[in-house]
Amino acid sequence: MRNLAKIWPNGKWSYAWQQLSAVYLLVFLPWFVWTIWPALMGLDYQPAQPGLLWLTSLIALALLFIHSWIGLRDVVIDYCPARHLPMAIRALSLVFMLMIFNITLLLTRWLLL
Amino acid sequence: MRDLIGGRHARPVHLALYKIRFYPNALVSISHRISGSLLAICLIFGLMLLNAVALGWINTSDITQSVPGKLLILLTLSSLLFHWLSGLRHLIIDWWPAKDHQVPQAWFSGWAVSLVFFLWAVGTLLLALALFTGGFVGGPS
Repeated sequence: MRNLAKIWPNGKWSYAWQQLSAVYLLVFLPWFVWTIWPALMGLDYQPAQPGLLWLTSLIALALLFIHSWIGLRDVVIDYCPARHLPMAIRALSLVFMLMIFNITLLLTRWLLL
Repeated sequence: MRDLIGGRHARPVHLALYKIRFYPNALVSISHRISGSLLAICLIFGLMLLNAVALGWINTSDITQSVPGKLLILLTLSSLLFHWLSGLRHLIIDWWPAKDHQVPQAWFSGWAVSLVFFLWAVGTLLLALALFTGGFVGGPS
């Protein structure tokens, strides 16, 4: 746990992860839209490098969860009344864990079918 | 004591948004947070719909070809566009090569803020046109 606290304590490390994920998603999203544009236009489409698309998308998904977790936690801390704060953070954690579990399940199911 | 209410300390002070008069930078900042929160809600709804599709309860076309589905897609993409644009401005301010620790004031100005809102409005209009007059997944409705 001490090792975990070294890479994920509050404050500057949260800020660093937020910045890192923001920069990745800032570059990834336009590239992703550009890459899958034919599919969005309803055309028959096969990605030129499916492995690269998968890998970058999975990294984006992981960083999206990190980015949204830090952002929402900050919003809750700033606006939630102090007496409800521990409960709100616990509820937010639960929602995130359920979402990660659900996405893992959907991806596994999709890969196996 | 000024900070005491009913014998208790009135801290931490939580931000009452309706009591604050926003200057342009603050407006972008709070809008960035609102669009981020909306995106999280859309993510939860999107995930629920994805589960419904995976379980065979609905088809993808039920989402992409229905008005509520299109409105959800528009809300998601519009929030994403605003979050991306305002995030880009935040990152430029944060990452600009510091010369005497000064970032060009242009990025804090009302012009930069107006540009973010203008591009978002144009982008949202184009997205709405594409969604409701044909274009995304499955062609014209």
